Amino acid sequence: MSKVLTGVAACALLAMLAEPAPAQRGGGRGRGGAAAEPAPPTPRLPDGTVDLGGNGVWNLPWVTNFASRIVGGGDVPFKPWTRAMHEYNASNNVAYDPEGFCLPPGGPRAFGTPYPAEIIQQADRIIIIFEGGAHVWREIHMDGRPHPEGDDLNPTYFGHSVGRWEGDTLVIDTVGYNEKTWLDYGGHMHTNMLHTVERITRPDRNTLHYETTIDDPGAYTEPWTIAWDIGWNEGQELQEYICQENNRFLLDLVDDFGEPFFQPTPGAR
Amino acid sequence: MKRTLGFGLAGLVVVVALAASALAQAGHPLKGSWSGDWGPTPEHRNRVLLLLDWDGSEVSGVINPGRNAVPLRSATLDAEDWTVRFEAEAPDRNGNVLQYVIEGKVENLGSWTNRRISGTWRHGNESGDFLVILN
Repeated sequence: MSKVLTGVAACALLAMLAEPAPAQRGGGRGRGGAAAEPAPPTPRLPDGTVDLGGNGVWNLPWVTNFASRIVGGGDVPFKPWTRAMHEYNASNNVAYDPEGFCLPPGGPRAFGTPYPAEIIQQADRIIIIFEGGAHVWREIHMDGRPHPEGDDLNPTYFGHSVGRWEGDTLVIDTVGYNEKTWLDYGGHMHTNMLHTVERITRPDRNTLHYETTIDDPGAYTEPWTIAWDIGWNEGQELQEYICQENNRFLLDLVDDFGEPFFQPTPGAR
Repeated sequence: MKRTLGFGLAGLVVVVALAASALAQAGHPLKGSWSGDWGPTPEHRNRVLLLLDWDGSEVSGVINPGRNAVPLRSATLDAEDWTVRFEAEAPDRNGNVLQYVIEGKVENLGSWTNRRISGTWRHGNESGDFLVILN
């Protein structure tokens, strides 16, 4: 591979080593090679609600290609333009991935960007803090409010999220995404018609099961669902990671004509 | 010296990052405003602003939005080779209906600053080439 890896990708490569296999559960770091003991049960809040947080962080895996995580297998239901863009992105080794520019991952990709995340759970909202992906957070409203409509729905990187509990499953419904992100590192595109429904469970203390349905009639012919497991890292804390610092990848990035992607400001170098 | 270089580098990265965040457009590759010109010769050029949109099933658009806007009657993208064809019609100063047929190719798809469409532009009895760049 001739392309210089971005700081994001390089760190992602390291973190990928900690990625649990799709079928692996209860996989916190540092468990060693001994016979696996049953994971502690799902923690709960005093009112019985599943506790998605605790004294630790979630080790998000690097999910580079959502097509490999489709529930039940099958192919991505591309429209012609998204298939062609995916092929184009592959042909240039995903050089123009917005996350490589330190822009936020947006939507489901945040759960497939390999830095830890912390979930802070309150009665009326759930906050998810992502160490990576440009040091961003999501807010999921749990107070029963609807999505804004019309011009009040201002398109953003993470959209507008409302959540509810269906038994022990947190269901997050999100609309209002802008078009400044890719769905994944592999270059699957989306439009601002994207609507995601995420379903999150914690089957035991050490495992978060993440599933999301991608419904984007502007980009795909039908909804498709992807899923993976996320391991718990007891006792760990988030650290400060600033993607924008020393992102040297941009300095040498050229476009299809071989021209610098950005013209440097005179005297800045 | 190293520190100065480091600060300079960091400054450049900040500038570039800010530019990137302001320009990023990663949805449908035609969506947005495009500006450039068309003309029969390199010396005779006409400024063009092209607004294109994607509703999930069709591309729509307008040439030179404003008082003399010309809505596109049809707009197609062949994603196999990234060629486009736009058709429109509008009356000239004498009330005669002029046909617009614009055929081109989208290039530099990944660029946020220099994605372009170029090709041929027919406008009534006139024809020439055109180049527009995504704003």
